[in-house]
Amino acid sequence: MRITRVVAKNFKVLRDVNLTLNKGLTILVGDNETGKSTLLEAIHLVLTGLLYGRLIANELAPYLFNSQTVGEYLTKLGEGQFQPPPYILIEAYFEDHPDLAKHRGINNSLKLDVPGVSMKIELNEDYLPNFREYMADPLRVDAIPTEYYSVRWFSFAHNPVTQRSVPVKSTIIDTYSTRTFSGADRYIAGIVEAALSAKEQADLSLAYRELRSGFSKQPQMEALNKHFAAQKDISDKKLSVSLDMSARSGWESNLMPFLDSIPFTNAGKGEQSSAKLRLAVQSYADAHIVLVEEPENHLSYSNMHRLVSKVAEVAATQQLVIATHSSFVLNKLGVENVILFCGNNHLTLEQLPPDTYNYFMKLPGHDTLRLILATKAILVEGPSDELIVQRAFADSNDGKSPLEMGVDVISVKSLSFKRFLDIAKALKISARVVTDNDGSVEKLKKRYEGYIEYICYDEDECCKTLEPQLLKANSRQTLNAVFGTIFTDHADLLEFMSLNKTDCALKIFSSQQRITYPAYILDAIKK
Amino acid sequence: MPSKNSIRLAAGGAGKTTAMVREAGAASQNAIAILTYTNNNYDEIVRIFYREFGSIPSHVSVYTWYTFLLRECIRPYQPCFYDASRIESIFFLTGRSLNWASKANVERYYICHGRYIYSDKAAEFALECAQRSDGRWIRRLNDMFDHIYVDEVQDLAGYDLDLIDRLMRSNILVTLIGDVRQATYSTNQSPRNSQYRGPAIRNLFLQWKQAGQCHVDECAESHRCNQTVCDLADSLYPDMPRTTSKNLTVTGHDGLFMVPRLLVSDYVRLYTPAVLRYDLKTKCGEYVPMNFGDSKGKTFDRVLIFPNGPIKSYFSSGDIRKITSPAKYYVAFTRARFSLAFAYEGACKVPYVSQYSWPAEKPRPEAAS
Repeated sequence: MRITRVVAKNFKVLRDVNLTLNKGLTILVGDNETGKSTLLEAIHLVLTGLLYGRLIANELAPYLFNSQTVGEYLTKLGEGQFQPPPYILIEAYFEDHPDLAKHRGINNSLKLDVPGVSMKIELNEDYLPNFREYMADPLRVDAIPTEYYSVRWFSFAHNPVTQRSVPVKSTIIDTYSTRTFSGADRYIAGIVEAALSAKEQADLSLAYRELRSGFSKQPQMEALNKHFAAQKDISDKKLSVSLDMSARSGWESNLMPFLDSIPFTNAGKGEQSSAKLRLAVQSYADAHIVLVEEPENHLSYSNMHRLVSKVAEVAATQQLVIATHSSFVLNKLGVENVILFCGNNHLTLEQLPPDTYNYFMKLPGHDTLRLILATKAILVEGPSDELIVQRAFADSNDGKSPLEMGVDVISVKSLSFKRFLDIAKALKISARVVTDNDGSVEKLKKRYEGYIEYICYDEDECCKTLEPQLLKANSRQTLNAVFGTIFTDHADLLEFMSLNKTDCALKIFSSQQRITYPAYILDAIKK
Repeated sequence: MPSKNSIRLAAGGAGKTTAMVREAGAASQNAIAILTYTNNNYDEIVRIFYREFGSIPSHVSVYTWYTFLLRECIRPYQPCFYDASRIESIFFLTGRSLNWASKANVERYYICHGRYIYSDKAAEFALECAQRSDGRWIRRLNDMFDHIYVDEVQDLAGYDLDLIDRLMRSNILVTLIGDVRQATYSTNQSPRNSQYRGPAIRNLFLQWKQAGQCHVDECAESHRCNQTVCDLADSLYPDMPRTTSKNLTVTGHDGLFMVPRLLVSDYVRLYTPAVLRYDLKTKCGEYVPMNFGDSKGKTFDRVLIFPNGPIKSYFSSGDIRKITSPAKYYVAFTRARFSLAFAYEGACKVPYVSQYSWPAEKPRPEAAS
């Protein structure tokens, strides 16, 4: 039983997301702060009712609401326009299987007749008068009063669900140490619980209670209590000690997993994560989704390598969603499963034109990823163009390199600009192409039909390539000085540059002296 | 071809519910729903499951009628018909809801306080959802259940019966179980199908049978009551088949008795019968009585009834027509396995009712002297 689709509205940075998940592995790729991890949290929340391992009802807070949505709502309210208060909606759509018919219905935002669960965090109507009173002075209000909100967790049949009744289980694996919970590891506890029948659990629980009660009856304990009983000045009542026998000290919470006799929580993060992964796979079999958060964080290279290998193995039998911004992870797991995620825009490679898709299938994932991760990309034709653009950028930005400013200069081989621009368009990434006119502006315009607003080139058909363009913009003396040459003739200098393209570019790049750049290159940098 | 659906009509104490639970619990390859109207009978079904199987097996879901309507027939496809808000619950009425609201005004006709549905219109609403769902409604139920049992089917009324009709026409196997003589409750007071209200529901069952929609099995055996008790209960329905008792146990105090007022407390102390009455208008002294209606589905070795007007008139005249709506009386009479006593003194023209007197061999307790 797989999750086919996730919808999230107004949940933190996710304002309106409707994402289709792959059957096996889905890789969410995107920059920091774009909501990849939030999406994993959302999936885990709607399947388990837990946020950071705690019940969502106890975790309601204004920060859970999309700040843009809330801001617009409050602004409108300030202008005297009343609107329904903001709500959070998360929906998980399941594969349509007769066994899940109980959870089937059309109570979802897409009105699809499939099984699924939905969680809505909305104003509790019982508190409507309090809410109105609170909102009476909109100027005073700067956040959503979540104390008047409640969590409604239903199947698509609109019947209440519980953690146990949700048919698809979820395990979230994050490598942040800050998010582990006190006491025994919750994942392990949950998995152990799922692995045992109700009877086995009851038997264990009984054995545990007997063990504790046996401990309390040890002669040493009796001696201790005799000692306490003699202490009349502590309390008027009889004082004694015993082990905590209440429900909250059950065996589950005292269970500590060991890896090679080392307590699980003391083992390395990489070891922990891959052990969790393995346990999760074995315990839940089919109806289960594993969510892996940025395996590159807080892990050494070799640990990450191990975890990612495990992920690749698991994804063959399990549904698995992994969020990453590491090109290593992406290359390792294969670009065909990627969902390019960028805030509320996202696309899968299948959504690209078929020839673009095929192109990227053949390409190692690295360059694709660089494009996705950049806030702005400048695409160039080769290493010499790259060097010139890098230097031109630094010269125009107080010596700051493009990367420092979130701009990636990507050298694209075999003139596949259009392919990259397809992705940039879909993800609304700002991108510019720096290209030669190759002697025909007309041909160039024809080649980039539909993409022309991204293309920076020079109209002068006499200067076909970068080298004559550089020579046009600079005096012979300047370039001679940079290259350490003494050409007295334009044609000779041009020939030298054309024969030593990369060397010349490197010299310009590393020279103390600034040169003047052709206007089309400066255009690409500015826009 | 015989129909897949069946209706099992049996007398009080025939062991219908137990047989149903055993059958459903054993059919573990099927997904089964068991529906019943009253909470009492729901509890009884659950109790029998625990007794017979240790718990409710995972292939069985037990619902009260309204829970089934709400969870499986209304909510899943509710947006097909009314999408303004989720129907949170049923608004229970003893009579009828607004009947001047036009059906075209869905909200006014069906909905109360924006999120509750009037109990008398719940089944009608469910049928509208089914109608408008393009077959998705029945597909869902079909995927969920292979077999639906409806216990105490005689309690259903109004559009409930149309809903049953809809289910019987699907691929789901439908088995209706009940005793038309015990039609003491009605799920609702809708004017729909009012000609089948109460014991007349049997006519609808026979029509369904004629239309080839189901077959009807009538069983006139009681495993609970002895023959004398059966005969008295049968006398309430002179036009229906006689019941044969399968309870042949003799205890030494068996059959029908009239207990004079002065001997009542001794009788109660000696035999500890369950004390029943028609309703709270009948005074029962210091005893803790149960109303006839609430005793449905229960079994007692001995029963003592504090009679109301109609029973007294029946006893004094021997004319059964003095009891005009016999369903609750039938329920009360068929609770007893061995002895059924009435705290009544005076003339009695009903046959086989013996005058209770203190057994000679037992010392009279002081209280009665």
